[in-house]
Amino acid sequence: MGDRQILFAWFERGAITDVGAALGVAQVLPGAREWRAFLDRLLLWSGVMALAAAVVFFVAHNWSYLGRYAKFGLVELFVLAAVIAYWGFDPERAAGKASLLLASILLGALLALFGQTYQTGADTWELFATWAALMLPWVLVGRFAGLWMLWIATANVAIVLYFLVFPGLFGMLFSTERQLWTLFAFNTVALAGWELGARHFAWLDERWGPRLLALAGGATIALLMLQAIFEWREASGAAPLAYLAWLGCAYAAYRVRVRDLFVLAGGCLSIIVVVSALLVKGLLETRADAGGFLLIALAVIAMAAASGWWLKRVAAEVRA
Amino acid sequence: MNLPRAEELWSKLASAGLTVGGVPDATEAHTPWYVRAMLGIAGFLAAGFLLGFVGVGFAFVMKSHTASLSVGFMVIVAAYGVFRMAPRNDFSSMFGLAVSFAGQALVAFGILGFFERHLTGATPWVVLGAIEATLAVVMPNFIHRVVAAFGSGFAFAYACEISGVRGVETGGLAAVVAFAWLQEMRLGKFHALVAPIGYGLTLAFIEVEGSSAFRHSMAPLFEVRQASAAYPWIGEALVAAALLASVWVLLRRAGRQARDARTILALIAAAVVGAASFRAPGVAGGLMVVLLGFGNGNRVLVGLGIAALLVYVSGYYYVLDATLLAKSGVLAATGAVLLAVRRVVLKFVTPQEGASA
Repeated sequence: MGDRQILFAWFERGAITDVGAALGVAQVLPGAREWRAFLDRLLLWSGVMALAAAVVFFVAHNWSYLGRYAKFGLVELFVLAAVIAYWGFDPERAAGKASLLLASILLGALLALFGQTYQTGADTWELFATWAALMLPWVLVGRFAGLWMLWIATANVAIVLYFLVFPGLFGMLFSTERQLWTLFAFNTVALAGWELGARHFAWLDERWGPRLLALAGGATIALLMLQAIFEWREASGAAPLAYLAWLGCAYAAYRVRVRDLFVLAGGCLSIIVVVSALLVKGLLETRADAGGFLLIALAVIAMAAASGWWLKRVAAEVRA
Repeated sequence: MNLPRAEELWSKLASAGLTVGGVPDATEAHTPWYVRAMLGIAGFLAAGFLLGFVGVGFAFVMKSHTASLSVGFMVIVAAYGVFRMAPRNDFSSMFGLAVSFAGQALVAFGILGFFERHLTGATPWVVLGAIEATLAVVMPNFIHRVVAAFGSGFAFAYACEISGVRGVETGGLAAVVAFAWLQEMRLGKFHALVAPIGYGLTLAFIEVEGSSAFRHSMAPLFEVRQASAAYPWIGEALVAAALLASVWVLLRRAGRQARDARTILALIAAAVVGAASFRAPGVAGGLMVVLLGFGNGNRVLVGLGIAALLVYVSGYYYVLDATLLAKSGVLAATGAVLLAVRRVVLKFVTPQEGASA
């Protein structure tokens, strides 16, 4: 598929006579085998996700005509069926992994039903934390990147909800900062773990996972940096150091060690936003004049152009 | 692309008798989508500061709709000149992008304000859509074309929405998206134009399809004028028709004959998915984008379609005109339909022996 753009570019220049045939020769277009494998997975995953959402919606409706035992029985039956399906199918095949993912989502629905029925007084963050804890054994045996990502996402939600319930002694401001630090630390550790794990386990060696985690970690440290710029009196001074350290590590990991353009592009965008924020703070905070706006606009354009130029050069190396 | 890879590809094409002349230069052809997305976001950021510059330094422009419109058009023309003068220069491309975005914001501000006093209804949005469509064709910049095509699709959809033909816009956009991607190879000589416009319209389709069900369910709460209840059905019917047409063209491309039982079965399967989409909006549209992407060997399009499907399921939770119990039933039925279609497709449409042939 990576040859697509080049073939169209050659066709536009008149270097090849039939782009459709060229795409076929270069095996850019799928054949019968690829179509079969693709439709198998597409319909399997979309069907399973629709069924999982159906159970979640059902629990959320809290249907009064169905007694509590019937509801529990129904959801537990679904969980059991999904687990049995996992054992029944080959666990290494897509159908097995889809069944385990379904069971993990249904486990969350079951916990939500428990909280809804018995009104235990537990906070919402506890639901997600318990879900993540109970799901963990399945995640460990599943050998499946998608399931790990579900677990990480559930833990992220638990962290966010925890800090909404426990804002701390100093109210929402410090709560937001602690929340962001915790999310940053968790996602960065998860990223490092994923990258290390990918060296040993082939099933973890998919770039979308580390990219999502790098996006989450990079976004939270950039938000902390923005907070440090605009609310520097209240914010701790650790954010600039951590931000620079994160950029340095990202450069070392994704430019020097492996080349991942996605993370580098995210890093460039983060630098553009942070430098713009510094300029806004320095030039516009006391007096918003036209020259300040123009200068910042030109700085953003220059930084973006330089980033684009650099990233294209790295892209050429990545393909080399 | 590196030289050995380009030469290898070229020799394959030459063996098939598809080449003219020697190996062309291939180094500047590929920019990943996320680099373009990063540049686009930076362009919007810079445009925001440029608007601040105009707003503070030339306040009269913001106070007069006519001035805003005139300055906006002048700025867009200047951006066009910048693109034309140095198309390969990164700084000038970025500058042109930011300047044009700022100009478009001024034009939109001027048009919406101008028409507010003279004409109401869908007219300003039709005018905005036409301007954006023109810019998508004229401006020689990939990111600009994507954004302008998105703006055009969105403006026309909104014009349909407020003129009362609610739901039809999704069907119209689905048809245009299907046409653009299915004709991508036939229009290969204009790929620099067709591809970004295709992406922009696909993004607009995903956005409009994703929000139309929610907006329709909210309408009785906020609007006096009620659109016909049939319109969302017409919209989904058009989306389902676009899905069917896409499946048909992809089957033909794979060499399947119209009277082949497997072709008929595949079309019936697509029709069943389309029918499911009447109660679970977005399923047919999302699957159509995914199929078009895979059929064209375009992973970005496949990713967009999958992301759209996830967004539709999440958004469906908040649709107000059905209870969660009803939605649960619809999703359960849709899931069952998708798994049944999978069974039919694997057993009869693309059986193992056919696949390995």
